Amino acid sequence: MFRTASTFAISAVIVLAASAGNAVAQDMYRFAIANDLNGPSAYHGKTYAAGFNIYLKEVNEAGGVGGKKIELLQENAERNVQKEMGFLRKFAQQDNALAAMVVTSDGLFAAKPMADSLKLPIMGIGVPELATNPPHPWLFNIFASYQDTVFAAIDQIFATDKDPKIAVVYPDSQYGLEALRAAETRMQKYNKPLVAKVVMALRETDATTQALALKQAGAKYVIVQLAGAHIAAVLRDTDKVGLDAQIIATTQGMDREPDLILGQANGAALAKRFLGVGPWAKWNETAIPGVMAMRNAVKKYDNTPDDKLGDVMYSNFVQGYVNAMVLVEALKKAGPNPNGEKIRDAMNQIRNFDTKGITPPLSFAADRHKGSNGVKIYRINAERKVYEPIGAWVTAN
Amino acid sequence: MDLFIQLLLTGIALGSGYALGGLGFVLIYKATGVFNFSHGQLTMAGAYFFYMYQVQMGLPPWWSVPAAVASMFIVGLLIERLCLRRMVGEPAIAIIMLTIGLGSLLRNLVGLVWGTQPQAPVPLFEPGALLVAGFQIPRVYIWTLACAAIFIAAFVIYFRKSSQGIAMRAVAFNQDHASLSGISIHRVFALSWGLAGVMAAISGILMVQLVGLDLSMDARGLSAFPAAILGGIDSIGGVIVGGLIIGAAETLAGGYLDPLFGGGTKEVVGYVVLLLILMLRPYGMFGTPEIRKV
Repeated sequence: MFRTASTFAISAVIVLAASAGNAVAQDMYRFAIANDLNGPSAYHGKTYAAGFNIYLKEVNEAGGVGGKKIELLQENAERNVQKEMGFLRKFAQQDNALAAMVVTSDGLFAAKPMADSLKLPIMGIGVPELATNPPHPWLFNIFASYQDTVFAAIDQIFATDKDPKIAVVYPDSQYGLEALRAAETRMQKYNKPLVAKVVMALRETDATTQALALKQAGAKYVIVQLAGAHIAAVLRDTDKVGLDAQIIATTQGMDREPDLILGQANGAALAKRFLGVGPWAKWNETAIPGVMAMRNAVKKYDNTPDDKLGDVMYSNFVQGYVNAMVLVEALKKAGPNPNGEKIRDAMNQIRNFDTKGITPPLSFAADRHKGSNGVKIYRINAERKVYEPIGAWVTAN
Repeated sequence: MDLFIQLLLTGIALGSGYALGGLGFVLIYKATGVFNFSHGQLTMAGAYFFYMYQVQMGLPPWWSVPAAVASMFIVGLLIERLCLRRMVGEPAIAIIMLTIGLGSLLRNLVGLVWGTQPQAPVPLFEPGALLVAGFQIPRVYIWTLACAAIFIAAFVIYFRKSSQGIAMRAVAFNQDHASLSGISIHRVFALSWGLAGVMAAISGILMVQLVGLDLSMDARGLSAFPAAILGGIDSIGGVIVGGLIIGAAETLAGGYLDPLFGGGTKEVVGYVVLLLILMLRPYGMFGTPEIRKV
């Protein structure tokens, strides 16, 4: 008798506790990300979420939206597309999320067929052009796409060299193939072929065989659609095999500070061969009001001193911060009782959204789900150990 | 031909690192009969210790080498004392599972302590290349090869001439007889794991000079496994040859097959070689065939 009563009491407490949890959760608006929280590239997702959360802290401290606070729910999908899809379903069906994010470009493509049933705006840390071109009702690219960065890189090369030997290094995935496709398309405009198309897997850290292939092809400019560690490897190994080519990094190629390049024995010389193309400003561009606001928020909420900001705010942090700005703006526009559909419609109404210079003004519409085409070209300032822009935003037409 | 020579040189430099790593693998197997599947993670841990002493603690680059090596010796001793010693007498599969679990634990600990980002240790060797017979040979390859050769030679001399080395060989030959002659089996096991940690650290530090440092280092460290099987799991000379062959096979596949297959062959070729050798000559090129009368 006593055991039955105890069991009943414990069950009741568990049910009540669970209900209380739901009640608390419903008092908050929730965005969600199927993140990558461990593994060699987890810093992309972690820094993205950190930037997102800093902006939410600012909003929540100011009273939230309509008196409700906002939270970012994170699940660890470990860059596994199947897991990303599983979590997207969970976000939509169990967590009442208003919008969701995934890490991988492949995840964005995989989400396309199921997005209609989820009724959830979806965006990614990856920004492939084909996710939103042609526009998909539920998929958004907040920033200029990888294609835009490749177009801008090739235009930049042709601005100074009329007969350049351009090669592409890419991983064999949607993320990599986007760069290859974009480069081939842009080269048609100039009636020139790519001199080499070289595959480098995401898990590779040795680019010697790729460097030798590039040398054989006589490449003078190499567009690398990979992360910062790979850029450092390509610079190091092209130097090792005696190839004096300009290495051009796309969006994720500046996913961390240039320490991996500058830390090498002839780092300063390697840095001179680097160019980067990116769709959002860097943490060190202090002349930009939005960047200063972001820095102040990090100092305030994370107690990070000025000289350590670069350890916290590198590339994907800025991306996450701006992504949160856009989603909060959509939440404000969505009106009372928002849901995924209302957020999607609100995003479609955002025009010339001012990120205070962190990006060009962002605009969306039902037939345009990419916020901007604008990118900036960067070089490495070896003395200050940062990326610095060469000029203002450029748009590849 | 130029490409072939360049690829071969790259492969030999990389292979010397595998050979060093493989020596640790062979050492554990010879002395204790254990397949240590956490060897890749030990290699990675050694490289991260090197990074810690050099960059985070600010030791001069070359001082960081003995510091990392000593740390990994202690890690090896601790693994033997805390994990392996309790497993004496347990079935082989249990010990194999333990080393796999240990590898997973080490990998996650490294990520927890040093983060998941790629790191940038200060290079030990000067950049640039030497022109030899018309071929450009990066200095880092020459230094890596030289260091690997010195450490391998030192290890072989230690194993053949020192009293501890002879004790290890005695234990490997017959544990009961070794024990009856007064050799402490536990001590030999502990020393074997400590030395495996040392070899893993040196191998990891040399690989950092060639391919940088991040959490994928454990996969490189594990390439010592096909090297050891190819050469013969109980043959020190064999693992050196095996390491060089696997290194060369990887880079040649990367140079010639990756462009044809769209990448990825470099990562699998070592394991294809492993599969072939297991089918054709299970005891490896220089291993001892085990013949049982039934």
